[in-house]
Amino acid sequence: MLCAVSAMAQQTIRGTITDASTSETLPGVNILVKGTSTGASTDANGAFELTVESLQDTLVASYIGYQTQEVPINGQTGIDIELNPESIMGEEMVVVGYGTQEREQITSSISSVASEDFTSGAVNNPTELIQGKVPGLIVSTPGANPNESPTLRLRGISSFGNNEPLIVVDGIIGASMDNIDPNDIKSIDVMKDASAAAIYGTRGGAGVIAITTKKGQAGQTKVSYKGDISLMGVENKIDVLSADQFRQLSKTTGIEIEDLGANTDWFDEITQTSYTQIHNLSISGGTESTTYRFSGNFRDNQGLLKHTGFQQKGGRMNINHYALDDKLVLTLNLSATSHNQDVGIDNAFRQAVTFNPTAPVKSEGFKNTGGYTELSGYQFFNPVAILETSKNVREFRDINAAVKADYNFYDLVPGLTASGFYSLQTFDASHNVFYARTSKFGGGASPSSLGRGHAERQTDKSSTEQFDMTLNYSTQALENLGVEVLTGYSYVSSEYEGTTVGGGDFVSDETGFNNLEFIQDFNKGLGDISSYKNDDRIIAGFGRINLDWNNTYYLNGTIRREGSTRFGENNKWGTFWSTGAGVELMNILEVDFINQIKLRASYGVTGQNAPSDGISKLRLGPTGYFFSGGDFIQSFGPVSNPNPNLKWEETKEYNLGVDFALFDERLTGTVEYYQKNTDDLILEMEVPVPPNLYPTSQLNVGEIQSKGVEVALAYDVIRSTDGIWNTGFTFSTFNILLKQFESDVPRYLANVGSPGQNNTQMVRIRENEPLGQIWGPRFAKISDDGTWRFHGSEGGLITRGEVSREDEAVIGNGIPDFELGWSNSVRYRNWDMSMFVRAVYGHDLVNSARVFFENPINISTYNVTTTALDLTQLKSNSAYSSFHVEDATYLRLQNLALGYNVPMPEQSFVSNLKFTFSGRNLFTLTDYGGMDPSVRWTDGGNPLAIGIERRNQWYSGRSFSFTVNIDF
Amino acid sequence: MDRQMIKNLNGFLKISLLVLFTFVVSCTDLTENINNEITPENFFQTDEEIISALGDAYSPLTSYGSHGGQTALAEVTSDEIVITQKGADWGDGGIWIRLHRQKFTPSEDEINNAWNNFFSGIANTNRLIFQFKNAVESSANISQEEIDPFIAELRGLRAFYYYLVLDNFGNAPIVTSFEQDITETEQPSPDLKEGRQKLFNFVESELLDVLDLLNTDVDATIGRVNKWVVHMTLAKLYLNAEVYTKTSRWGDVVTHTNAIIDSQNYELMDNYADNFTVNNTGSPEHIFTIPFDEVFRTGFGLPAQTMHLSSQPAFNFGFQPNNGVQTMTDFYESYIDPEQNPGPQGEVIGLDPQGSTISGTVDDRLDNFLVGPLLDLEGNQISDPGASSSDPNGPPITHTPYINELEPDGWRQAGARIAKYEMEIGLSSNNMNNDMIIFRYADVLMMKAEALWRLNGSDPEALELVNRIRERANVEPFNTLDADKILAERGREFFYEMMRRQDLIRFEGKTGKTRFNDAWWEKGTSEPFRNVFPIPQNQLEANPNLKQNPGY
Repeated sequence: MLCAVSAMAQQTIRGTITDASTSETLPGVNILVKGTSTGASTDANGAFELTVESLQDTLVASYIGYQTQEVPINGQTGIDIELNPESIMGEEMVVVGYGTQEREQITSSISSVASEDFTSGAVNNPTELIQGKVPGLIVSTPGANPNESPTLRLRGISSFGNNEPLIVVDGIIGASMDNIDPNDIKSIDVMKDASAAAIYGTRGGAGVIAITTKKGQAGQTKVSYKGDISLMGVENKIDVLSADQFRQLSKTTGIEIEDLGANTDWFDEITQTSYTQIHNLSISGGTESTTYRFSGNFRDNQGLLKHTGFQQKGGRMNINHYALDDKLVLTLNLSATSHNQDVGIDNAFRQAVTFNPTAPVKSEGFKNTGGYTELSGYQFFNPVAILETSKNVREFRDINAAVKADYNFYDLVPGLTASGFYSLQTFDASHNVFYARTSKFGGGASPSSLGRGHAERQTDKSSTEQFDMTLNYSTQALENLGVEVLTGYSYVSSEYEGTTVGGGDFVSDETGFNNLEFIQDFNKGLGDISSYKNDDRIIAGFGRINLDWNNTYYLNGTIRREGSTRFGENNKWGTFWSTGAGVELMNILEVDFINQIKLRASYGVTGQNAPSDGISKLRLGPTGYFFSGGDFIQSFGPVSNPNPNLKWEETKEYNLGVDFALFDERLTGTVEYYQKNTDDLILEMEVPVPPNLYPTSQLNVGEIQSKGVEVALAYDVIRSTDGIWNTGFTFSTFNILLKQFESDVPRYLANVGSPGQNNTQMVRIRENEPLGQIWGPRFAKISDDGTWRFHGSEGGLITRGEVSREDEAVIGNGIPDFELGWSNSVRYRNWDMSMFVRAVYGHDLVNSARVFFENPINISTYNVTTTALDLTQLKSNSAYSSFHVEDATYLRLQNLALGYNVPMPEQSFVSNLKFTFSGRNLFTLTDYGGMDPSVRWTDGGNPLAIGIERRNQWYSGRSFSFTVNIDF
Repeated sequence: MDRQMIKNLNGFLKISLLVLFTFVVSCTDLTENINNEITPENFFQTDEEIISALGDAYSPLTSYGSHGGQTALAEVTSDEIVITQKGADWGDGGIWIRLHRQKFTPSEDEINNAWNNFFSGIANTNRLIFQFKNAVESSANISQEEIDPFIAELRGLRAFYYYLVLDNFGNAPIVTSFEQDITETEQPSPDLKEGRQKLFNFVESELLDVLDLLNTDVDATIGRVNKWVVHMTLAKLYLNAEVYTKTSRWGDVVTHTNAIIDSQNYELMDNYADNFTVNNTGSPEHIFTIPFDEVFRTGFGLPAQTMHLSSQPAFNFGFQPNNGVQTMTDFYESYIDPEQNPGPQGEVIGLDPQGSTISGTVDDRLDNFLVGPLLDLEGNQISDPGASSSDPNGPPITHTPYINELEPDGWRQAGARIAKYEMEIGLSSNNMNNDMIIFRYADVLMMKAEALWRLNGSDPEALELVNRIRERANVEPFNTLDADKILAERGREFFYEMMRRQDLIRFEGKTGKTRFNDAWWEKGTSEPFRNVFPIPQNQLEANPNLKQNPGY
């Protein structure tokens, strides 16, 4: 009826829609009459024609990548509309799974850091760019080992296996961070809660970090160069006795030492001031149909430890091509990186503490050990000899290629886009190790004889193919209701293989690991050869719906049905889902000084894939050799127990958040609270051998609960045309509980180590107790006879031999209570300055160097730390206890940078020239006496052994960088 | 909704269907590929695979070659061997001290390791019996006749593992089926005495059942269970029957030792030490051995266990030893003391802290030890600059039978080292080529002698048999026998052959209930419940049906 009435007043309107900045016509723009579902789209020339009921209506023009615009018709029949690109309007787009969304519409927990807020200076790993800037994300890089990747923990621990967040680079799921140069990154989005990560199913359990690289833009060709030179020195090391102090302590205690007459500072002998250079050159530009960006990177990085460092060369190419009247967008991303690493041998750090300071580096009579002085004693090695009689190098190449085709059906169904995505990641690595026959450490040399030497070559390669199809439909379903629907299919297939060959007994060291034919072990049937191959697939169908009512109320839902080859026969498939809701209060209320208050709540379910292939099956493998009929034949036996019910670890998380902007958006911030429970945690458990075949099984046991509060605040202290000063805080708390385990029997992990403390554990995990508990005897005093006394469970003091489990207790916790970040950025005319301070509060560390090396009685065998001077009353062997557990709370000036933009004349060939001087790790305030107070999330790869600093820890470094940026 | 909207939705649905179709025809296959290992469906196709699979039943025996597991249980708890804590070395949370003092708890790793070794042997034999039976049913290549001897061998081996369980733990679940559910595995009785009796009956009947089904060819079955190994295991079972069941079975010991003697397959080697050489495979005295090899069957790690940190040049070892296991001083004395061991007198290393040369009995079996100055291959004494300043020998290394203390600062060079198995010059890794002995013929003679003596304290054949062993060692024969002499002779002969604990428990004690419970150096009298080990804590946690042995 209404139609019949209104039809009489129908009018036709014509017009053209163009890009406001380039004046180019825009095809495929969606035009709706506001309040109706009447609409049309522009043709190839950007022209449209539309019938309206009244010339007093309003048109709504929307186009992906552009700000939606409302235009009142005001009685005209010809209307030309200019659309502004979204970026110009400052509308923040956030990367979500398989797409982007406006920040406004997000109901889950996603933190975004753009390149201007990245850490400056010599950054080698992309995650260092956002260290401390995302509440809830701890990036831990203990020590200055240039070849070690940081440990990432997003909202604590959610698995007994992998706790590293999933990395997604330009849509490539599970991409390697080693293949992205930090200079090529445009923004990093961190999906923190299960609601945001659920669309990634069994791989989203530890959160997702989405990295978007820089792209070219149509227009003039831009050439940018960034060069960086850095110097790094030792920030902190363990203080040990000098040769003179060593001799003096011998005199005062009467303990005999082996005085070899020299004064050697072993730290000086093994470390260097390291020099690093980084160069990045990029060229970008394009036409209206094709844009591109090419970049090349080179870095040459020396390590603090002599004979270590790496060289890295990388290239990246992004091409976007628009075809078929812009209906089709083709994207090509190619990246390749080559790394050559001198890994060195960490043990040199440990030996530098203990090696006799009166021993000369080299001396007469040590021909068999390459001239290096070597002492008797179990596991004592000359630190310089360790480095100089060995080689430990690793080379690897990453090549990724991704193609994407988006097709916009604006002529058939406005708002509908179909996409196909394919990527291939390949990885090739070789790891080669060589110990000369003169090496005591790895070659078996002794002062009386040459050793056998050892050479080893390991090659690994892997490849991953990913194929995604998605269909995205967005429409203004009702006047106030925007709907966006996404459906898709994803297929990921990976293959891994490798070979290791090694052995010893050469006649000559000359060929190192290059010619394994020199290894005589092989001729005797000795030596080691092994190889492996694994493959797995993940298949999923997924969907998402976003509802937006009046830009005020938001509702999201996702679902993913996913299967993995790694799970047991009975549990191949799982369903992961999430939902979230948000409301922008300022669209309902009116308060003068408040610009935005958005409340949001979300809930989601994610998973964690099984840690490796084949673990749900009974497998038979070689179990040694068997003597039969006068000969040895290989025997086979089970290497696993079957578990057809093995399933994914499942994380359920809810997140409550508020985003706000006050005082003309001077103060902006986010406060969030989350609680997540991960159950069906997969752990390799000891099982009884009858009836099982193999003493351990992969079982779903246990539940971990993590909760915390996260706050991010930013305040514009000064806003003027001459200058700005912005200051920001991030704050996050951690609380991690092992809620359930296979029984309430405690388990003890992380042996103190050799010598002598191989069966002494430092970590306890138990049902209903927090994770991260450091466990051990409670130190009371050193008694008058020079032996240890500990507190007994019944109150009295007991000796070391009397300590039982009942007497031990929780003596620390390796997980911090909270982490705090404080950033400042100031710009005044051509100058800018940024500063970043990070504090981590409330975690403890076992200082292993003290456990073993601060005992004055040991100077008869080896050197000790200077803390031994305060312990001269000790006459007993080293024994781990609460005495060695230290509070590792720290505050660190992590980054300070000062930049100057050289003013350039208008028509200059150089459009921008900037110099920056920056420092990293400038100082650290801490009571911790070890090498680095950073949180230790893993111990030898075990994610449950938290809070242990081992003896071969690298020193931390302090670096100064000079950077130049030039844009042409 | 107006037409435009419906049209839009129509289009969306059509394209969605298209996508859905692609999704359905796309790969959704999640079959897992196993590339590195074999799954049971693909195995047991050939005879070679059968024999190869059989090896897995024997592989748990390789743990005999380490200092943990069986060595820790049978030797470190006894009066033969000790591992002192040497300053920062060998503290290991006090386990070696607790084993020595017999203060061990259900949580000791080494006790759990031993349990796991025995039971993985049992589980493997059960699995193979099950798989072999299936292979006959499902494969045309393998016949019942071909498979029967293998199954008999596996049952014999399983009974051998159960004999070890019986001896060490007393009361443990009897599992004879691969498919048994965990809830069905429980001890034969909650009571140790009753459970041990039932376990004894099981071992006995299994061994008797398979006796005549097994191979009798000694040379073809080196390192495997043949008829003679079963006779030997039966003899051992009966020898200790009184300990296990309160009922002695001495006559049965004589029967089964006679079966071995009468077969004439075995004889004493002329020279004691020849049993333990690098190339000792196939010695006529060996009955059951673990044929270790540096390449193939690795794990015999005696050199690193016992040799000094700086001893590499003494043998040109390709590895640095750990300086662990040592001989108890009093035990060493039982060789050189003319009272205990009459024989030719000559120069031997004495018991003082310096390890001076004194006069004592020169028993051939002193080859079991490395004592005195440690020399490199050129004959120069090796030095340890890190030697304790309280050690009168100082840096030049002299292994003295004297040991200064159990803990915490045992001297690095104190204690006679175990050199029973010939140390190979130039051994590249800590994996000896010598075969390790589980049973040998000398024990057949000694067991028969003991059984005859137990039946009749003045049996002349008993004395003659013991003296044959003494004669070979070139010491004087005994005129009479008594418990002390028999036990001491077994000690001298079978040092480090993993039977000392069992022998001590079989003899009546002086301060304790058994000799095992008696007090000795750095150890008080222990309670009789120590004569079986506790059920390991890990096993109790994993299987709630298990009952702990009394006393623990």
